[in-house]
Amino acid sequence: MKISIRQKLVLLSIIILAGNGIIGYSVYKSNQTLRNSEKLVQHTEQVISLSSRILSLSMDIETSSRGYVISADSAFLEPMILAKNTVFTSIRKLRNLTKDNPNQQIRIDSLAIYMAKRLEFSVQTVNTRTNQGLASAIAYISTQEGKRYSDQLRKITYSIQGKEKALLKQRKLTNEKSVISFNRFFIVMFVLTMLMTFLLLIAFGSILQKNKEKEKRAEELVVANSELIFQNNEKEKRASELVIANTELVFQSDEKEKRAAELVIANQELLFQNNEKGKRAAELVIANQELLFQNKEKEKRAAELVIANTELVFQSKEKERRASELIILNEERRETNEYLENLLDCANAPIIVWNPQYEITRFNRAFEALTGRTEKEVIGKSLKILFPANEIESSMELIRETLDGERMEIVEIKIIHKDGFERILLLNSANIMSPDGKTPIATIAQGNDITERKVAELEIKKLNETLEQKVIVRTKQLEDANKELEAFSYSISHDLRAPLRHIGGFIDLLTKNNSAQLDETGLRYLKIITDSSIEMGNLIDALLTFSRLSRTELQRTTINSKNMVKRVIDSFSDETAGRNVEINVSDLPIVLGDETLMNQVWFNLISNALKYTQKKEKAMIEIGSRTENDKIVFYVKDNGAGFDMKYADKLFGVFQRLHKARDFEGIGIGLANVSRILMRHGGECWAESEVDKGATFFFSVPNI
Amino acid sequence: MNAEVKRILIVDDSPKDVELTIAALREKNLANEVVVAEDGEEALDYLYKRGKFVDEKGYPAVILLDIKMPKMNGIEVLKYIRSTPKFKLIPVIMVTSSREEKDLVESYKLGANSYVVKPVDVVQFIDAIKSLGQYWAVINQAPPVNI
Repeated sequence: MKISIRQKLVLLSIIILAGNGIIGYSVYKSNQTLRNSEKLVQHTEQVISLSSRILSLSMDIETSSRGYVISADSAFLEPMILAKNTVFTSIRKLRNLTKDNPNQQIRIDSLAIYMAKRLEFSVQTVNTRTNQGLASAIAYISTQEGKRYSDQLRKITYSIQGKEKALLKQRKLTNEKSVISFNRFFIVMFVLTMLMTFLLLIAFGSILQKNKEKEKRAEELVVANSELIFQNNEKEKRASELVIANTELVFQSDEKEKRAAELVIANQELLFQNNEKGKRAAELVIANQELLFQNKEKEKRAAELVIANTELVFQSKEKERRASELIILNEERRETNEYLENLLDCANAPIIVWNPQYEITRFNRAFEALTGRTEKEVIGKSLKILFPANEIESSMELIRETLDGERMEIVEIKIIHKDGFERILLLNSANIMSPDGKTPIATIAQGNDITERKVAELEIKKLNETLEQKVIVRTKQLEDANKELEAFSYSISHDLRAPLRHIGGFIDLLTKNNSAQLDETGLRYLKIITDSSIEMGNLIDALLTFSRLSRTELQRTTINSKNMVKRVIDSFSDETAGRNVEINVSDLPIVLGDETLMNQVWFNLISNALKYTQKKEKAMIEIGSRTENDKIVFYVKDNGAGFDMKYADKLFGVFQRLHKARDFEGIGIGLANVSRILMRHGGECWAESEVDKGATFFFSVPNI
Repeated sequence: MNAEVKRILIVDDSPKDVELTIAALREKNLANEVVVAEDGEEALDYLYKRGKFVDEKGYPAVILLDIKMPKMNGIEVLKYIRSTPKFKLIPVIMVTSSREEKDLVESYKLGANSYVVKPVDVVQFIDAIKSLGQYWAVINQAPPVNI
């Protein structure tokens, strides 16, 4: 489809108009963004100033109560009452201001809590001053509780302000970005509009050119017409008609020309207007940039001003407070210094102070004694002079680590005496920090001389090593001895008994087959030989049993002692059948032990009690127990023959007897077995007796 | 029962003990039924009919086996008998001086039919042997043995 020039012109004009419209809108939009930024700055300033105001109120409360404590003048309390009345309203306002931010709300809530605690503390201070006097009030203040609340308030306020500033910064960054993108868009639109205007001008130019051509043709027609008048008068009429027609044509042409001229003017105006717009747009961009810059500056200054103000307020309050405290503190400090100096010098422990360059700045008397150097001699010298030559670097490294951490674990370090001998110190050190708490200004260290202890430890270690070696050797020897004993016992069991059996066996054969050849004396000798071989067999068996008690492994189980004793007593029913025997058994506890072996203990003791009471008219046997700390003691008491206590130590020996075989039979192995069994259970046994007044046998086992 | 078969095999290295044992068995008229091996190896020779026992026939009704012997001891002989299918049903009585529990336990574990400690008291010893011979060689019904 072909578009006429007129249509093209209209289309271009519409595009230019739309472009201008968009430019206008983007200027409006960026202005609005700038206004938003302005509002945000104001909001932040409001929050910061309000929170500073709250902090200042809290300081009013603190200062006011302190003033009252010092002076007892109730005029001091006015700022506190004033602050008390307004501070929570301010906190509410602050809360309102930041209601779009839940994190700030939490901080403001804790601000309110600490404010209430601070206020309560100050009121309590004032009350204490009024009711209990200055000393109590100072004691109350020195609990530091108030200071803690104030610190918290300050911390929270700064955190609120910091967060608000950070938020503002973030928002402004977003705004800035949108302004920049608006500006970019604006420039693009401007360039496009200019381009369109240029195209419009070209279109007008081409229209003008076409009109000039038409004029030329009209002139040619006039010439042709006058020629025609000369040549053909008859055709005059037609010519006059042609003249009229021509005149009309000329007139039309003139009209066209006029319109073209008007169009040029209109075009020029449009061009001028466009130029003006471009100029203004450029000016606007510059103005915008300036505004942006000014805003930034304002913000910066405002923030600085707030900080400066807060600091100023804080400093002046602090100064006031310090001034009043300084007088008291100065006096206290003088006393404290004197006291500390004395303490340092008189302390038994060596104490040293050095600066960050590791130069000694203080050296107490104990250290002087330790090193043989005087304080005068070492002040200003490097710590290095204290260490043995071969350990200077490693010792300094240990010390250096002290300065890195706030407090270090105790280090063990060697110190050399002027005369060359070494002492070992446990050095416990702590940094003294600068008032800002960031850089150490000195290190104080206290030593503990452990030289003697170290020497002793070393000796113990050496002894332990030797001991361990000895234990290994002895254990080996014992193991060997045990093996030998086992082989020996086995050998006895077999080889020693065989000849005895042969003696007995062949005497028996002799008696059976050859008794006719022997007289009565011969037969009696044979009987003695037989009895002796039987007795020797019994001795061997007893010895084997005894040695087995030392060798076999214990099978520990829980033992109901009462039941065990009952069973043992029952097993003697045949022997006690014809006798008058009374046995009383108390309740006996449960113990841990080898059932077979413990049974043997009871068997031996009860058997003994019955044996040694057999000559009494009535045998009285009492069996009981008692618990002593970590052991249980059992006893078997009888009213029998008893024994002389001076032989008590022989009682539990192998084959030891305190009575004649003629009076009481036995080979003297029973109590030795009892003693061995109890020894293996970690217990012991003993006895108490008087001749003819009975005996009491005790034994103990560990309590489970 | 084959009359040529010796019913009691005594395995013991002590001739005195053997003599006492035979004397005891004589009282029960069992002396002629006895054959003696002086150590473990001879006991196996008897069972396999080799060496000095090459002309013997059959198996004993009971073996009285001492433990402590030179070369192959009683425990080893018992182990061999119980692990050899041909002999494993033969009753074996351990007759020994050892009262050691480990010998007793080991013997029963390996399948000894009885364990008798040779008493020092000769009367007891003879009684024991007499009743052993009576029971195992006469009263007890011997297990079937393949020849």
